[in-house]
Amino acid sequence: MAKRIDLKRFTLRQMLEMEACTRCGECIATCPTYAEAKNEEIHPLAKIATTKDVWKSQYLGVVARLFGIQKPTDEELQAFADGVFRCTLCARCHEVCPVQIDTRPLWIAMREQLVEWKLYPEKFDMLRELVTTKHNISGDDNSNRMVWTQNMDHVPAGLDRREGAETVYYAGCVGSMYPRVYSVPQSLAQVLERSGEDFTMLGGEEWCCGFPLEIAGMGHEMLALARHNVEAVRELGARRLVATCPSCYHTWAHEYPRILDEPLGFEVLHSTELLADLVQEDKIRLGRIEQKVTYHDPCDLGRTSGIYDAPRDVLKAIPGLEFVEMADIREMSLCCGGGGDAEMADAELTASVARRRIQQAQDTGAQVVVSACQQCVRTLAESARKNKIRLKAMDISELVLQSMTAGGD
Amino acid sequence: MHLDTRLTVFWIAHLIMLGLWVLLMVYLLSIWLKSRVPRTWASAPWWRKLIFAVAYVVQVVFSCKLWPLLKSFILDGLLQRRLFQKNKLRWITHMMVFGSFLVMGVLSTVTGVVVEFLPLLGMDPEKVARIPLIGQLFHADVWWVALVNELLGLVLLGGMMMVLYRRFIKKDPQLRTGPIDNTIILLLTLIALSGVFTETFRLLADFTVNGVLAPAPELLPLEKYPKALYDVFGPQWGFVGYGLAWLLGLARLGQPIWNVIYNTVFWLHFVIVSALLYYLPFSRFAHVIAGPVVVAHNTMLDAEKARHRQKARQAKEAGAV
Repeated sequence: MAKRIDLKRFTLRQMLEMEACTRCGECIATCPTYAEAKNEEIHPLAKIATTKDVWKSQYLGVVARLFGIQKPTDEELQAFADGVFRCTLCARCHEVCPVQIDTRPLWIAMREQLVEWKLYPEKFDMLRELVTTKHNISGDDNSNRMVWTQNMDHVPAGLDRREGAETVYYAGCVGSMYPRVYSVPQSLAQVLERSGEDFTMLGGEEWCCGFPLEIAGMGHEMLALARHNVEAVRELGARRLVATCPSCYHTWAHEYPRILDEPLGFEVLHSTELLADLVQEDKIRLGRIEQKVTYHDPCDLGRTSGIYDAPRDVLKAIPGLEFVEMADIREMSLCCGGGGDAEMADAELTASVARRRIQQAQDTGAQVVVSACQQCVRTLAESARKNKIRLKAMDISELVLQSMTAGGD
Repeated sequence: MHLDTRLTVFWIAHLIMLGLWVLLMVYLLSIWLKSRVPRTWASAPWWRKLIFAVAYVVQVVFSCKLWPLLKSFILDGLLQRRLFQKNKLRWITHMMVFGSFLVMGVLSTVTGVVVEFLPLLGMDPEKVARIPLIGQLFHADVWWVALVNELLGLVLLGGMMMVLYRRFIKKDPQLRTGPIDNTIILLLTLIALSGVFTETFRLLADFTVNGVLAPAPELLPLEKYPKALYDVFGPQWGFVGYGLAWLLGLARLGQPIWNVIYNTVFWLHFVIVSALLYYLPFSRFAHVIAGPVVVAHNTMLDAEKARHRQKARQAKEAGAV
């Protein structure tokens, strides 16, 4: 059956953005997945060109044929889909685009269309099933959300849905369910407790934020998750929500108000912002750490949410720490490969992307690569291990806790 | 009154082509409007979406966002600030092609008004030619008009040579060259070249006397070249076209033959320009229209986001103090 594109998937702005593409190729030169895959379907220019060919051949008929626009074949569409789903959605292409095309939402709109055409990786069905029924990406019983607290020497009091707490800490699926990064929520919980923060968590009522579905092109499944999560926080009467995962943070801060079409009624912060505040307000005592560290900007924290300085301010406040920057930082930071659900489409490719980034970290001579995202930490640590690179990957909250412990706090 | 049949046919054909092009653009717009427009439902009719889109534009224009939008339109859209910061040579190439086309487009429009529109309204060509600043655009053989056109044509040709070098000789690895690129490059290069030859054969058609090229304003009817412009007559300032005309003039062909060649080349030039115009919305060249608008709008939105973040930070800091 002929696949018809539904232009309602795109905004008028996106239609104009596609027309505005100059085919200058800046995005090709900067795309981290293309740099590894060298596959012509993967780069931004090709994705835009194919989308335009699809809709023009469909809507302009004879006129399109007159101007040499061919309708892509099913094989070409499949190749296009492979390219779209192997993108990590890092949005580096947006930074170099001379017409500033807002690429990330455009790739997501393309994914939505491909989902409708059923041209998406099979694993996404499982993802949808898990998130919509189990309410997390691991498939574990969601009541196990707090399993990471089990091996803590001391579990902060009132962690599970304490009403009246000022702050809700939202750990996210990766932090809560993947043992490799249990240390992230464990560390932040301890930091918050030691700094005197009045906080709690949602426990089994913490559902996946829906970000993995949104970027898979299945955003229409997010509404129930958004409603549940926001209601759960409102019920506790919290004044703010803190997330360690930049993707969760972005979803709470920017997507939920849009999806629900109403203000949340509480502030949303990323943990680095809160940590920077705590440091600035002298609420935590940082001790000396003699280490050379570098910092990896998570795509969803940096490019997508514009938070670059807070984590750096925290690192620079730690006494004894030698902080060095990698070659590509801030707006031009390289992706770790862990984003965009791309790992589910092509794990080998995302591992190559991660290798490039861990190599950059190694080139700085640092002993530790710090990030502010459990998914980045997981991806970078895995890459260091696979490539036998002696470099430790850790989350900023772990480093802060280490520093506080060194300082006797 | 002397009637230039060629010019009359040109304007009729030109206006018909432009009219059809506008219709085509309206059709294309109606398809763009099948997409979502904020603040109205996704399946709303296209005219309703158009109203909302126009309302958004009006709202931006009459807000404090206008200045950043205009600034970005000029700096990022027209002057390509980002490209300038990234690569000066590519910026120069872009500006040589885009800038010369833009200036020629503006000059042609003003010339169209001066040569066709004002006399059509009953204004005497002598009076038109005396209008300060734009009056002398009445004829391409006024020395500075010839010079400006010549320079713009050469700049465009030079830019196209640089484009061809980068794409086909240097083969910049980030470039992808397909039929869509080749067609545009071919059309632009043909426009630049056919423009030079059109001018060359016009000179030969207008100023060949007894088989010899001998330019003089008196050779042209007063409706075409008013006396007010006699003092500024100088086709030789269009040095490439003039030089070529002089060279070809050595063939000592008669004026009627040059006239036939000129008409052929003129219409060829017209057809190529029209082809580009029609191909524009269906090719990568659509960025000429959409690019400046999109970059201005997106830069404005990015700046707005950054401003909100800054404000939120300041508010927070103030609260902490």
